[in-house]
Amino acid sequence: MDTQFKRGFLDVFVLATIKDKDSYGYQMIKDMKPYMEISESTLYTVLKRLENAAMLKVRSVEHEGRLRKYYHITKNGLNRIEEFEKEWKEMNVIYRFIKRGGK
Amino acid sequence: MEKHEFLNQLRDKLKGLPADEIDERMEFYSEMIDDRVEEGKSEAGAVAELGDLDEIKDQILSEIPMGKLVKERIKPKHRMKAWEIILIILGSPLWIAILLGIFAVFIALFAALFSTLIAMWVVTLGFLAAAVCGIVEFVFCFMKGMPLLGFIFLGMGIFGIGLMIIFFIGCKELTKSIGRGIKALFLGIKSKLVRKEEKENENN
Repeated sequence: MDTQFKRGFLDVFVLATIKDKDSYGYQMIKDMKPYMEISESTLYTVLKRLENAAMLKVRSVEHEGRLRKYYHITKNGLNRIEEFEKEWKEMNVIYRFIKRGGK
Repeated sequence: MEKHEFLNQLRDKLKGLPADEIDERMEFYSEMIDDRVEEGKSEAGAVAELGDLDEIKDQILSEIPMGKLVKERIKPKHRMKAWEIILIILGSPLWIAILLGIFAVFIALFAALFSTLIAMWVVTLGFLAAAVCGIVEFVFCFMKGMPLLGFIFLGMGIFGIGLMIIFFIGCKELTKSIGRGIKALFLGIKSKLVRKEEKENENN
């Protein structure tokens, strides 16, 4: 897959895991696992990118005597997911056109 | 491998990076290991799931912009003595000239590489143009009543198409290889920047 395209796609995927409720790193990897394997380094990069774009917020929560980072989606993040849904609909139209033309 | 061993080795491999980047990533990986252990995995198992240390290092390096590494590299690690500062200022004509020279060599190499690549693509297009001309001439010759000459042009046109296809395939592969080569080069430079940092710290 084209790298830039994959990057944008991963961003939305990660955002989607915290769309309805906050989550933390390992939980997000587990949630994504049935759909896609993602390495820790990749997840870290995506989370950092999303934080810089103000699409999520981080907060540290005490858990079992250590600090765990929880991620919370922002309005920007929700907008990005909406944007993606629109893009997806457009892509689907083109995809169906290709499939129909193939017959 | 145990957790602290993994973290120490990773910290080692990332020595050239700015301190804040290292700390943040250490925290992140530490949390990842702890969460897995909490689920019931052994420390060794959790660490194994994180992947190969060198691969992690390469991935991290490829994400950090070169500029940040260079800035970190040239930061003085100890307080500069007066004579060191004076020496640097006095010697500036020399090291500035040397740096510009090295930079110029890099630019020249890149320019040579890219102009060669562009030239090859132009040749490919040239063959396409020749092929088109050949076919057009073929049609004209028939209209003017010189069929034999027309066939000669058609032959050249088809030959042109053949060459164009060959060159096109070659250019595509070359472009991809150059792209990969440049990525590897950047990664190699970043690794060197980080490794030299390790050696310096060991000597200090």
